[in-house]
Amino acid sequence: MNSFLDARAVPAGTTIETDLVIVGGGPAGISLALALADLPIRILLLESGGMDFEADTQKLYDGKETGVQYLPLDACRLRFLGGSTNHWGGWCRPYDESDFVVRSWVPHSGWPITRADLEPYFPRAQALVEAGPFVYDKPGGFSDAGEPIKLGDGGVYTSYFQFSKTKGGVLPTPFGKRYANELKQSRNLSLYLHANVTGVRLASDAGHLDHLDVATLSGNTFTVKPRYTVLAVGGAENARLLLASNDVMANGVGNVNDIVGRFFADNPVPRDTATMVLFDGAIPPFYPNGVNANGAHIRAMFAPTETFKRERHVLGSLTTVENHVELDAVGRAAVNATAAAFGIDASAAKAWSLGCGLEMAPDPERRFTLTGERDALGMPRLNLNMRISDSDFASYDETMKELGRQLLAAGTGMIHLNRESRESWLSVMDWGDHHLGTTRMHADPKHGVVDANQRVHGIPNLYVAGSSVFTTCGASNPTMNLVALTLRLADHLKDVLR
Amino acid sequence: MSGWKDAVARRPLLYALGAAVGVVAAGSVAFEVTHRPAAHIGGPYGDLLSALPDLPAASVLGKAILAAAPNTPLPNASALRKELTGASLAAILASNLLGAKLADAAGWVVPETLAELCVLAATNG
Repeated sequence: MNSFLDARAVPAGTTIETDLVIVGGGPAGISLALALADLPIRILLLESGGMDFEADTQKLYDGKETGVQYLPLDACRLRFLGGSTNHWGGWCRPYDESDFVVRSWVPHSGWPITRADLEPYFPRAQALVEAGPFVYDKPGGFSDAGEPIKLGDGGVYTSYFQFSKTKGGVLPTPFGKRYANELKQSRNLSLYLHANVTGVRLASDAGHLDHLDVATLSGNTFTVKPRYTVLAVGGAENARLLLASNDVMANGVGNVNDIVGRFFADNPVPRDTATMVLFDGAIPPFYPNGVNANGAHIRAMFAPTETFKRERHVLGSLTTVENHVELDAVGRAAVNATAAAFGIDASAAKAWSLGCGLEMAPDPERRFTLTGERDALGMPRLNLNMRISDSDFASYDETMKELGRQLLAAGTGMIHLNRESRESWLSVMDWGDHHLGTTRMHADPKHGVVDANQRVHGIPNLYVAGSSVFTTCGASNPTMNLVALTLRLADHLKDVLR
Repeated sequence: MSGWKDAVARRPLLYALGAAVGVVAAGSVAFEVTHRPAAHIGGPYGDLLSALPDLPAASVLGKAILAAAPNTPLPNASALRKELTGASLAAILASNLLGAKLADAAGWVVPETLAELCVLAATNG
């Protein structure tokens, strides 16, 4: 079994030649290295951090923000082997078919691939994140859990999250520690810790990537000269590396059309968006809590159907049941008046606060740019201009109204919309810490940074992996989806590298 | 959605939120249904309001609707009388739901006809 190498011990000025270099040891980089483990080629994996949290390395993420209040950039991600799977929540759900297609009501939507292209990779991704069987919306898939909340026919249905769970443990799978042994056993892989790529250097004619500059916080520098490169350092850092490598292409690598860093997205996670009352006061336990069912750890939530999204022009959203709440006098009157009018006994009614994860409409002005400040390695720091549109909130309320209609139609309960203004929405806003979209995938280089194979337009030996290539962000959590996408990239690279 | 985002960044917010929710969290909420005999309802809309099994609750909700949206027009009582003739309120409300005729009743999603009756209940002298 190999050991991991330490970039701080590489003789300064060394040039390491390799067939493939993977930059970044998060879920994308590790999934890719594992998928290519049997290939008769030399693979280098460069990870900025070590095996555990180190404050000076984490500080390399520090940046500025403008616009809507967002999380500090150095708190969103973790910079050591395993990346942000070292603190993820483990929530898994595949993107819907509609997440990939052109939607007339969502400007800039439409991936160059479909969900069917990812379908063969989802079960393997599901295994890597250590969730249960690849069953989500299949009828009866989680029959062990019990019957879902009864809804009338309509545009909202009960869907399910699954959770990553390390075998024999309770925490979501941290890719670095979980797959360290597998990575060490890979005979074609050399994994360097504390290795920061500080420059993506193109040939003078910008026709291909020539080499990478690598630096350590201890002051060491060396060069990697690969045949092929995959950047997998996250939604912020992928963009930063490309933008900052502007010695040959003035706007940065792959940025002829000024797309790199634009279209940043996260999943807004506003709290207490609505209140749900169930007239009989009985909520199935798998809505407010995770439960084990059919070999998986699951939690139910409400999602708009594909038809509803299309007909009502709403964005994706996933609504969870959170805490019991007590209604005020008006709330009690609303429930009493409504239930009585329908002839329903609401004497045992109870109320719950709802939360959600949202899809954001793509916005080219929600973007990363370089600032004049530099980090400890001399790299320009980022500024994030964060925005969210009122129409994103309105879209969600449409879905909640439909849920309310269906609850009443079934005689089950009713809904109160809790956010009446932009200020009210922003006051309960939290974020998923999902960095998406900054090197988006599109067939047309005028609209995207990478093509359908995640190859940077115009740079034949440079690829990008991870959620930065997502063309639109969907409402589902990205990790399992980005792992599936990376496994697809691995198959492509197997063909290219042979 | 708790648990959605990475724990390190949101933990303080969750603690604060949890504390806030805890203040108002409760188990059961009691909802008593009051039925008022139609004959006791006076005022200009008494005949319409007799259709409401819980008039006091409807009146409270109606006042809340008007407080939240003071420019709410007074519902067309004649049209409501016509609508309520020969059909039960529950059937009309079910029809509202089928046709997606919904109203924002101080944030509550209710059938349009019910919201209109609530407003009349709040203004029935």
